[in-house]
Amino acid sequence: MIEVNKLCKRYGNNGKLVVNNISFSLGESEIVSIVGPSGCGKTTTLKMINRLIEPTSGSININAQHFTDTNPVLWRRKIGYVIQKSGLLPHLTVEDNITLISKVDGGNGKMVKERARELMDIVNLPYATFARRYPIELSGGQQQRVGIARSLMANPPLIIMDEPFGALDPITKSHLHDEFLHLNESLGKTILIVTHDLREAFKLSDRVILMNNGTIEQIGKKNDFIENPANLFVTEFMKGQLSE
Amino acid sequence: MSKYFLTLLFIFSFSDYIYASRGPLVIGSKKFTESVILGELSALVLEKKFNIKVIRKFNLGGTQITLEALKSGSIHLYPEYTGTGYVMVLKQGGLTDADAVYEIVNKEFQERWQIEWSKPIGFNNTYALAVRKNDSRFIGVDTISQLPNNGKNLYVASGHEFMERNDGFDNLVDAYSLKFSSSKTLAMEAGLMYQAVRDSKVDIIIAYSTDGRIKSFDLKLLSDNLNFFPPYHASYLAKQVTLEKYPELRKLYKLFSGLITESEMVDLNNKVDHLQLDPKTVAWNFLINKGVIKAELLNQSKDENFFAFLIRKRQYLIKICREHLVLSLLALMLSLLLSVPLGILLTRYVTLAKIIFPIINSLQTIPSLALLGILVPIMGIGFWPALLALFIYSLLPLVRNTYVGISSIDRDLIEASQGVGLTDFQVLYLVEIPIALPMILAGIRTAAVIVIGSATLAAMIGAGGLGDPIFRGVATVNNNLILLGAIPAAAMAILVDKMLGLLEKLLVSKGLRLASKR
Repeated sequence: MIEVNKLCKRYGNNGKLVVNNISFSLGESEIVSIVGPSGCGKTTTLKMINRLIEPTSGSININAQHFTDTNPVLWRRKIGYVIQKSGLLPHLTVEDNITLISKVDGGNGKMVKERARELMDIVNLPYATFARRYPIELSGGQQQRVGIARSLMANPPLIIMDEPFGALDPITKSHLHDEFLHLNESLGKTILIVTHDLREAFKLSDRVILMNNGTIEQIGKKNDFIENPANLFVTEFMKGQLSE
Repeated sequence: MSKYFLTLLFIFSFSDYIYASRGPLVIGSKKFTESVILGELSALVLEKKFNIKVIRKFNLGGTQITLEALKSGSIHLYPEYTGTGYVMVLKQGGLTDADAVYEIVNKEFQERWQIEWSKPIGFNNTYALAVRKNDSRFIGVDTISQLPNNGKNLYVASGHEFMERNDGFDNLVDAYSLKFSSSKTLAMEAGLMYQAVRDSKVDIIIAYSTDGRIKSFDLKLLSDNLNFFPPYHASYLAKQVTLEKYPELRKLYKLFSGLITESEMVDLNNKVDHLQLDPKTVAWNFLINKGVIKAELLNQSKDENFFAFLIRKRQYLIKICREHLVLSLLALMLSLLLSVPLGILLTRYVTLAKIIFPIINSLQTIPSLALLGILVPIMGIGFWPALLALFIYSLLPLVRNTYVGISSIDRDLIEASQGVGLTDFQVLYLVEIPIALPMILAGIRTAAVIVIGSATLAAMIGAGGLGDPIFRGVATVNNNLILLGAIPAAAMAILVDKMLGLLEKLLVSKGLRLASKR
């Protein structure tokens, strides 16, 4: 579904490679998490996928379409994007936040509204109660649900999420994890999640990519990591994260 | 080079009426009572005796502004003093003979600027030191040399212009070896110093010898026993081209030659300053009594309360309110058109911001009077230079607030908006401008209050507005006139501020208003 090939990112001419020659791919309807310590290059990798950051070298293909073949704005509209602090626009209502892109894209008003109502129901925010509220009037969890609804608006095949549950308290987080899994059973999206939390990654995703210093240390399922850690870093990282 | 270019541009675009044949004559005056009365006298003679249409541009700033306005053709005639021309404009000194000084200024002004002086109007309004008659320290003191202890420890006040002249303060102190201390020397609006000495706020003032208040405030003049001050005989000034086009002006020159004696001028000034009569009424009655024009004498109550005054002046009030509003709002709109795009541009090019902001900041720090003083030689007097000055003053709050409003938006939010697929331009008008709007509107409010307040200064360069009665009121010690300008100016500032506050409620998203309350 998506193929990332020999991707590199270097800032400046002689700067450090923050992402160093990484390759991976995701299958249809697969959920994959990228995990790693701060500064490992996971967020940079994610932002290269929706071209907020242009790669220094390497390539990205989504459904065999090469990333330089369309302009960045159109490319992004085909990828759902969810970020940590929800990224909702404070001056727009919940409904307007969800429908913004469809409207600037010239979508039919009635259909756009119907779609928003449907999505709000899916993320458990009843339209009648929440459509006219502003982000400031919502809890962190509710804001994140709106963020997810917004990413689903254009029905993109691929969704990328940058620490989507990172700013939430443990109870809300756990609740949203369950909802998220339940939701995707029916939607079947291909999803790439960036998180610093290995437990979360194991819980939500089919496979995990562990990054360190701009390179991939190991790719695999939960069992591969536990039974066959690739190297000392993987062992240490798991110990640090799972023993808390 | 650019100065001349601007001057030409100004002449071609805005003042073509000046060169149209036989349009109205524009009469100027400086902003003190005597100058206004002399301006009014000439205006009435032109209107009533010679049937020429006249535009009055009275209460312009000091010599700098009136003379530049005359040179540039913004005004055609104004009253000036031989001593002022001799000392302040020509920067000469030494002569004290009245005829000699007149010959020099008339010759030099004709050679340099083709400006001709009328024969002196008669009286000599020189500078003079004045004290309270009943001040015991000055009993038996009749000359400047007799001042006890050379004036040590005395509080001294003078008008601003005197502080700057060659025959002014420093040389006076030198000539008489006076011991005035700088900490006890105050420069103030010339019209206010008479009250200051009457009320014992200061001990001694540098008065004008024909000022009506010397008589009515019970002051006495100390004689200039060393003949320090040059003569200050009043004359009218006009350009030779104007005199050729309007032969009536030559008749006016002749008519006023020796028309007014010193005691008559003191009396006229006193009627305005002390009895609070309207300068126009005073001038009117004087001309009738002198047999210059034939008409009914006007009678005017001097004990008029503010309300009655307001009613009588309502048409004038409407006119100056309109002038003030048009000037302020136009300046604000033009500034808005430039500032908001500029502020946005600067958020895109931060290096440019580092160059532009110091420039705008320093423009803002030029005192408003100085800015007007700079603009007058380039643009003349009237509406346009006033508009430009106000435009410049409103730039900073608008550019700064737009810049800060946009650059203080969370970078993650901008990135998220790009990430969901907005183009850069959509990010600007759907995200950045709406979120920065409260800040931009706050900038507009600040700019509006600054502009409405500063627009009162426009009257100094003949652009009218609510400053007109304020300056006239200060110059002629007329509180009703001051209030007539000050109250609407304050009300207008408050009203516009409130209206913009209301606009903010309408335009700014509820989501942002809720957020700012948390």
